[in-house]
Amino acid sequence: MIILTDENFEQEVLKASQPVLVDFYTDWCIPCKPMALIVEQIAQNYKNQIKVGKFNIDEGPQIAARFKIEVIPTLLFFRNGQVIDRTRGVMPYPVLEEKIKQYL
Amino acid sequence: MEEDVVEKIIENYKKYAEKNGFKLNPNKQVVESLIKGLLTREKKYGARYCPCRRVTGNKEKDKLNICPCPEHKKEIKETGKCYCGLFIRP
Repeated sequence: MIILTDENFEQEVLKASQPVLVDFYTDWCIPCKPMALIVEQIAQNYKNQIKVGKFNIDEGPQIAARFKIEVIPTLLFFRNGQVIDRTRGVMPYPVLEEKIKQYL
Repeated sequence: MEEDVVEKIIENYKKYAEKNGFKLNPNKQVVESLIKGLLTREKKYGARYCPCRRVTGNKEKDKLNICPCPEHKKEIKETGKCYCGLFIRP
């Protein structure tokens, strides 16, 4: 799990050679906590196929604005520097896993 | 000191919830975490903005995200709780 910031986002996400899943959150957001655990599981189970990172929107206003993050948790899926899907709110592991499989 | 502020906000939210026909989440850990988030954001951005939404810097737009936000009553009615989980249906 990579800690993403306004500074490393371009290199770690937009220029990544593999698909990237980014979890946008804040420390105080209660619905973000179960989502973070599920994303962590995805990171472990798909570590050789997908890059996974988390982004605190209170610490990275530029990227959060650029990708129009409004409500969190929001997940963005990137491939070749482009957003290919986005979700908001908590989703169960199997639902997220289905999406991941679709994008591999 | 901050604990006193948190307790006072909890009391005020309890009264607000009762007055409006719903209640504060009985999970105190959840409520305290959300309120600490609101206070942190108040220090950082100047108002108690919902910790589950982005502060955009546009005061008019962000005003809609000050807790309790305009959607909370609709969300409680439809899903049993507001998005953040601060208020729930009795």
